[in-house]
Amino acid sequence: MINLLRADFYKLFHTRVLYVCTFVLLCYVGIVAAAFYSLDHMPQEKKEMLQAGNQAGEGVSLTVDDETDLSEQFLQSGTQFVGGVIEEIGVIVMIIGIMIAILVGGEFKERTIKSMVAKGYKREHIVITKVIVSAIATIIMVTCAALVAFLVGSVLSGNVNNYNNSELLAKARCILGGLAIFVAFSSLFTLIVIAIRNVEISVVLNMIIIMMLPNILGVIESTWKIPFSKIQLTEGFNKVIQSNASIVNMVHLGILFVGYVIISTIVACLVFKRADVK
Amino acid sequence: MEYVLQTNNLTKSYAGKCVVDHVNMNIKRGDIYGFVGKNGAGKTTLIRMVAGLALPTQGDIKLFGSKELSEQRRRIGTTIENPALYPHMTARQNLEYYVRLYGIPEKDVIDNLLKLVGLENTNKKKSKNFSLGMKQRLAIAIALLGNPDFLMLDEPTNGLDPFGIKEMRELLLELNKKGITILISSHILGELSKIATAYGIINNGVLVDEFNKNELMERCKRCIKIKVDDTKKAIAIIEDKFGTVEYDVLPDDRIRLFSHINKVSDVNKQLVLGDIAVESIRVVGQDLEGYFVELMEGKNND
Repeated sequence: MINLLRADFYKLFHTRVLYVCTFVLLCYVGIVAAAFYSLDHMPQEKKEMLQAGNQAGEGVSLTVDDETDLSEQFLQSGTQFVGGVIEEIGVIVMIIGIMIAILVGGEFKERTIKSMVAKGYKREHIVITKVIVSAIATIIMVTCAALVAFLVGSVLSGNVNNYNNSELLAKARCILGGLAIFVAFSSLFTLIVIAIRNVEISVVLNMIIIMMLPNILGVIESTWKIPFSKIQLTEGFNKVIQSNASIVNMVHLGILFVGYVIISTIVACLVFKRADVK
Repeated sequence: MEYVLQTNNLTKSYAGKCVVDHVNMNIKRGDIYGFVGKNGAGKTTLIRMVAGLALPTQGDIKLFGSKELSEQRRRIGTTIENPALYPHMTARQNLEYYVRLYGIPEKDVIDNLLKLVGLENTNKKKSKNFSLGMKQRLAIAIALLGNPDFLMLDEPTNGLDPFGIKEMRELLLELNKKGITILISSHILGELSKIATAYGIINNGVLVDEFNKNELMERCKRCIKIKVDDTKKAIAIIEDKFGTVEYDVLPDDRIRLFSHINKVSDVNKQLVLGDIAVESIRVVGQDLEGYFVELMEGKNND
């Protein structure tokens, strides 16, 4: 399995997928930073217009939640901006879904997966390798985004950190918790790609899972009282990033993370074990 | 006799349709085995099962005398259907990937292989921009990584020009001399006949026949085939009337006469005059292509 990992890491760093997806995420970080910066330097009356939901002018329109305190800066420090970026789970998970679909699904599209199988590697080892490499790719991408967010946020706000120790601990929980759920999502997406074995359909299915599944499960939960929220990663994460998060919340998120990774890997192994490889 | 590959009632069905039907194949060490069949006959499906890409519905496979296939598959190099290359990587990068995948420690193996298959000057060209022939060469270079003992090549001359086909043939003969057993599936009978030492014919999923090169030559040899009531007397008459003749006597009173093939009527006349009851007399034997086609279509008519 060491050889499988060595080869897959070589491929990861010699193809464009990781670099393109990281670039897209960095662009998103840059655009958000620029938007926050321009909001912070807007006259007060213009900010109030945004809150009222009026158009700020031509081009891209921005609106601000009514509950937002406009006396505070949007961009306060590098640490604050990193935490804010990580909390935007939807965008990051969407990019992860696309990256995994191309990274793993591409092996089936180009038929290169048959080289591993034909050389005698156990199918379980191949699946585990894909899960590990997908997780590492996710961590690299998110870490790059976090570092750039920290740098950009620090430079634009002129402040590296504006938190006291307990707030800093909460942000650390946020970042670590975020990384954990991103890795859990990456293993889930890897399972989907291995089950579907088609890049395009995997991208669509991953998008559906990110955008629609939480709402669908929410409706089912409220209608039939099935406690889906207890096994939803985003719900677990939301509890951890609260200022009053307890050890129980963190343990719960940890269990979800381990559960998602293990169950996704086992199911992917079972699915791939019996599949004909084209 | 050591066999590199043996299959026992190997069967593959998809949705009730049998595409490989109880195949018992035997490939001896050191052979170049030509695997011949029409499109859709089951050649690629069988190769995929041996390579572990498809799970058999029934039957088993032995590689190098062992049923521990995961272990033995490390001794095989394969090219199956379209070349499996990473499109955004160069030839060298593709080989670097596979060198890591196969755990090969030698540093100069990539340069040697690129030179062997004629891709040493591709430099930064990505494999997605290769011609089909170049992709095929790179796929073969990948199959040769790790010094396999057994090569399975599914239509390796696809996309190659005549010079490429000649180079491929010379390469395969050279590899075979080094002791590598080779299975080639191909439609190009002319090319196969130049290198294959054994043949397997598959039709509609059934392995119709297996034979070696000498047996094939025997079967394709032109002769007059005569069925008589008394072979000894018939031979005596033929030798007396036609002088030195080349012949052999088959079971069930049949004689094959390899000389005087243009004198069928004379042979018949002499036998009849000699009081021999001639049940049938005809000229048989054909070229390679005709023989294979007859084998494949003959079984189909059955």
